[in-house]
Amino acid sequence: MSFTKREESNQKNGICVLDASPDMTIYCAANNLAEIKRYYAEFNHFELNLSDVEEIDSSGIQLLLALKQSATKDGKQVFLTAISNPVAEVMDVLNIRSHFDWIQPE
Amino acid sequence: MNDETDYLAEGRQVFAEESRELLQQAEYILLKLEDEPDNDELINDLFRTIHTIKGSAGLFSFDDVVAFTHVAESVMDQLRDKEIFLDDDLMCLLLDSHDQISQLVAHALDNTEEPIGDSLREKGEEVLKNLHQYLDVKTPHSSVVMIAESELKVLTESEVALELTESVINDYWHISIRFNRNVLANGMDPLSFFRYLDTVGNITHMTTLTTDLPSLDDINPEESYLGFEISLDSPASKETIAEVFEFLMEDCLLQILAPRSKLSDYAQLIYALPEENRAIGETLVASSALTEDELLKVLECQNADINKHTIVTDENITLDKITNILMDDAIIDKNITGASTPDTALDKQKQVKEVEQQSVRVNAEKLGDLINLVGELVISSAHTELKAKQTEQAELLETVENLTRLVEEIRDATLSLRMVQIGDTFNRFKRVVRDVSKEMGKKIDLKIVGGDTELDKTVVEKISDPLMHLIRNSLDHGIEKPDIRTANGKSETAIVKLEAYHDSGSIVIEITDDGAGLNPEILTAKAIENGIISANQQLTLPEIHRLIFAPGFSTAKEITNISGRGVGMDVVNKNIDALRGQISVNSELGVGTSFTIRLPLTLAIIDGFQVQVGKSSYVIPLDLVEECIALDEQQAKKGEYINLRGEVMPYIHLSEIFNDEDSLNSTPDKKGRRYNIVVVVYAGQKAGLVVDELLGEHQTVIKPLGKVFQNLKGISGATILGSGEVAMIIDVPGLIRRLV
Repeated sequence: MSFTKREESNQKNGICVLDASPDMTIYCAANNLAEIKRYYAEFNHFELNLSDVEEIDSSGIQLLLALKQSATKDGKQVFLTAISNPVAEVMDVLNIRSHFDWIQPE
Repeated sequence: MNDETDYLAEGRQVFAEESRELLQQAEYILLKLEDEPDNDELINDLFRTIHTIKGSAGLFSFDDVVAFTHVAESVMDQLRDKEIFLDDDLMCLLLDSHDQISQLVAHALDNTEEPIGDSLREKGEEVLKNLHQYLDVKTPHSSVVMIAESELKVLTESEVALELTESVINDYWHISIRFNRNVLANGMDPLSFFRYLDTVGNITHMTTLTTDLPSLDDINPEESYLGFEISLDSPASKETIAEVFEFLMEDCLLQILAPRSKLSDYAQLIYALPEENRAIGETLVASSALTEDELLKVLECQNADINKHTIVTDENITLDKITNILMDDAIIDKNITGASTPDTALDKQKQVKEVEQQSVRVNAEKLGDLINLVGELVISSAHTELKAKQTEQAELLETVENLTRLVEEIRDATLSLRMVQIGDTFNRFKRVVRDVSKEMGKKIDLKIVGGDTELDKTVVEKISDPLMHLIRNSLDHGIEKPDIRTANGKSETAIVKLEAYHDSGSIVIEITDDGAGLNPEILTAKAIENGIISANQQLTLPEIHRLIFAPGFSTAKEITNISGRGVGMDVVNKNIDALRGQISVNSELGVGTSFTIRLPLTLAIIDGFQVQVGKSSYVIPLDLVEECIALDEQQAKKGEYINLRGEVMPYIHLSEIFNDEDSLNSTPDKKGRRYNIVVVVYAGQKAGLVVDELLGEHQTVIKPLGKVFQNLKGISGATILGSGEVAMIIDVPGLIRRLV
């Protein structure tokens, strides 16, 4: 239903790798936020994999932006590693790719 | 892709139906308004109706419809705000607008590719010109506009204010939009509007503003915090662009600046937006809406005149109003906080679903299929019942009886699905009456009685044209001009009455006018001239009246554009015949004419009364059966009439009509045999049908007769009995006509 933490996440160096669920719309917004907040408290470095996201709306984008904004303020790091086509489309409509930091897999 | 086209086609279908209903409703409201021009509720309804049409048309990019409707709606808005008042001219104009919208919608639904035809466009332009007269004359919003002007004056007259009247270099539209917090909760996603916007033009630049976005701890994930600055390259008008955000009007702060707007407009935009001025200015530069130089000028002016500006920002509401006037649109709801909390987002959607479930649109074809199936079910249940009776097993019989009862209920429920009130059809004639009376200088009052009478939808659809023709005839030929009416001692205003009611299994529609009536001399002369009757033929008055239904009969001395449309009364008669109905006419010279149409309630399944003649079964529609009496042979041989409790009633032997040899031959053998007479009544006329045996009630599924048998007298259809045999359905009206 929401973000899943990968096993490779490392408590020691504070790296958290998250896979987003297919649904990043308003229907799951509350759930998604709760998950993100939970991990946000534990880690300082986030790598988000959005390649499974099938649906995303303004609320989902807003959540990502809020995460990024809070992280910048709190000195934490948020990277996007992969995005699905729906996410790419929305990001291009809103012209917000530059709001994020990216780790592109080679 | 396929899904998408299907989805669109389905949407268009819904739009087609919805707009037809809405337009009908709009017309109804307009006509009602004519009687009570001060009824605010009606004006509100009218505005809402037109507004909805515009909104839905916008969703499908029916631009012609939207553009026209918008102007009409603006005029209605003024009407609503009591800035203009409804007089005869405006009424005509609004009705014309309504017609234009109908035609535009029809055109849009027919072919979205081709541009609208010349005549339609010219008509539209003419109506638009007239509509604009109302918009130009307006003193509307005057108070607000004055505030706006004075505010601007303060700016320009201020000593330090720079000249901001020069235009910016930007060739693109600039759109600033800030959504209210509750926009997501209201089930709308800003994204979809941007995608739509991209079809109106090309979004050359988009800036997403996150200034309002709270931290993770404070964010409410179901509220909206984003703002957008958009540059749009589009040949579209401001109205069209604003239409994109139509559904968001109450949920956002929207500002649209045209290409090469004045610097002062940008200055205004910058104060009006909630963000800090310099930040917004930089965003504008980033999206190339303004150049650095232009921004400097604007900001300098602001800095120099800071006090004034704070006033302006304090008066944000005023600015909002200005924006709205600039946008020429309805007033925005100032309750930005909104009544709904985000928690209710899902609740709201649930509610919407619940409301949707209250009424379901069903394809008429599906309904037809269902009715056919129920027909088969009825036949098969009759068969089952018959077989069960043969087994004489009590338990089986009981079950089957239960089954039969349920089938009957299903039948009634299914048929009722297709029943609609005739009122809607009647209301359409109000417009005709109104237009014709204006055109011909007659004063006519249309009275509608029994609009809630229900009948089968297929019948309603087919009766509409004949009714229209009858009414036009009444208006054109029947009703006299006011001066002639007064000269004849009648009131100036003529009355045309449309009345519907149920009468023994039929629906009766009466069209009565108090006009000149049919002139028997003219009718006879005309009929002789056209060779319909011979000169020495003697006709009774009713026969003369019926001449108007003869093919090729027309008495119109002058052809007006109301009559003479190539549809004669004979076609009306034929159409009504095809519905198994009857039309009769009653007229008194100088007093008026009345047409009475009788139609069966349904065309599919009826309750029948099964009788036997010889070896054949016949079915008489039960609604027409009054009673059954026995008659002994002696009486039966006396002639063609019997004395029914003091009334003279004609009767007829079905065996003679259908030449049933079995029945005819068997008669003399049985001495003292008693006849059964089924007394039927139609249109107030009673008659007896003599049969050999009464078999009782039977649910009858009417099967139409093949072409070969269509002209058979005395038979209106056939049905299949439980035993699988075919029984003929007696055409009672036809038989009675023959007897009387």
